[in-house]
Amino acid sequence: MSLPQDDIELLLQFKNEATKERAFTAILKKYQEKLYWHIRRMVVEHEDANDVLQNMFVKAWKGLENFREDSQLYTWLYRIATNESLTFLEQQKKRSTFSMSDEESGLSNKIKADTNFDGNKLEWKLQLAVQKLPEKQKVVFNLRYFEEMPYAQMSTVLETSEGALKASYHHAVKKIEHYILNN
Amino acid sequence: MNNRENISTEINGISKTLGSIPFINVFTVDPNYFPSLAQVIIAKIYEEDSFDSLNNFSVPDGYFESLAGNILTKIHALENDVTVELKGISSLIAGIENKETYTVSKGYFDSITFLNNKRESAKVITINKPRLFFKYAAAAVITGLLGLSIVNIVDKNNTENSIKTNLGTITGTMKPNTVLKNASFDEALQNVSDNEIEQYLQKSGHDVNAALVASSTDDVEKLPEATDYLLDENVLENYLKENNLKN
Repeated sequence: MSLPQDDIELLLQFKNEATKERAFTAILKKYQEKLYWHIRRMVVEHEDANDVLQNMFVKAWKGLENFREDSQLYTWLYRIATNESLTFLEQQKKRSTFSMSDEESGLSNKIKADTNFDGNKLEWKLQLAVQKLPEKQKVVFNLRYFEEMPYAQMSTVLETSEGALKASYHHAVKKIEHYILNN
Repeated sequence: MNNRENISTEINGISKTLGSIPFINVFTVDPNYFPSLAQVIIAKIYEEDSFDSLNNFSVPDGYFESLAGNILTKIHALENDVTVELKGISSLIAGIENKETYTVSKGYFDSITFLNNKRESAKVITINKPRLFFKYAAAAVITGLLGLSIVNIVDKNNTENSIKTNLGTITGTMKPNTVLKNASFDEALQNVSDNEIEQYLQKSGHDVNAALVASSTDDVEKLPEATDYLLDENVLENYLKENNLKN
């Protein structure tokens, strides 16, 4: 899969010291919203999502010099965002004195604390159900259902075979359905 | 068919319940968040860059390139000689990890106490140089006195047989040499006239001084050197004065 023309140009500009900052700002503006929502669905709260997003872009800045142009900038950024989100959640778990199940319910509580939360609406129940999924299934479901990411791209982001991703998505959907029907 | 329709079709195939849920983003964000985000992130990047540049420490050229090699060299140098030797003999046994297979109950080593904490102090025998000196001095003095008295009472007749007889009487089956080495010398000497002693010693070629010194030591192997007891006249004089032996 080749890089989109605009991404190639942005990368070339990034490698030129005179245009580096301008190129990176353009990359930021192009991908920031998609990446923000991806992270937000993982960590739930805006403040946490903002921290993770900023950190991931700092890492992208440092790593972009060595970015291999045989891969997609888009999937590379998603991989960083996913890893940063999972690392953040892992750190939260370690800091927490609660058990893992309590941590999960902690994310559920964050959802319930949202000013717009309405427990009777299916879309909110869906969010609560997603938080009950194991981390990897949560990522797969979010990327597929919300980000509409093709399995081929997802395979690059998560370094997992398409078949395994399809199976993972299937299991995730079934678990969410079970949760919605029983809550 | 666009992506959203594809996703909906797929999810309907797995779960009608989820397929019926309207696709709505329940989360919201401040409308001003995204327009200013790029600027905030760029500022953060430069802030971190300036923080990184605070590291003013440096390492010698090629330090990190040679670091791994240097560490490995050190590890090899520290490798146990026993292991190296064993590798030479049997690589099979050398390959077995040197792990302790036996175990002791937890806290065993903490509970060890010695039955007798009072250690008996070893007997210390000091070598008293001045006492040795006086021992040899005394031997020399006695030797001198005996020698003088023997010279005065010389009787050259029948000495050898008489000494032999007397020594034989006292020591029984013991040889004369044994008599000289133990304390029975004086006892034997009381029964022998001075003349006889003189005769015997002169005839048999024995040195009377050596014989007396030998009688005052326990071990032939530790006989003192002649220079240890041959003192000059002044020393002898002083010794006699100190011990009230002089008239």
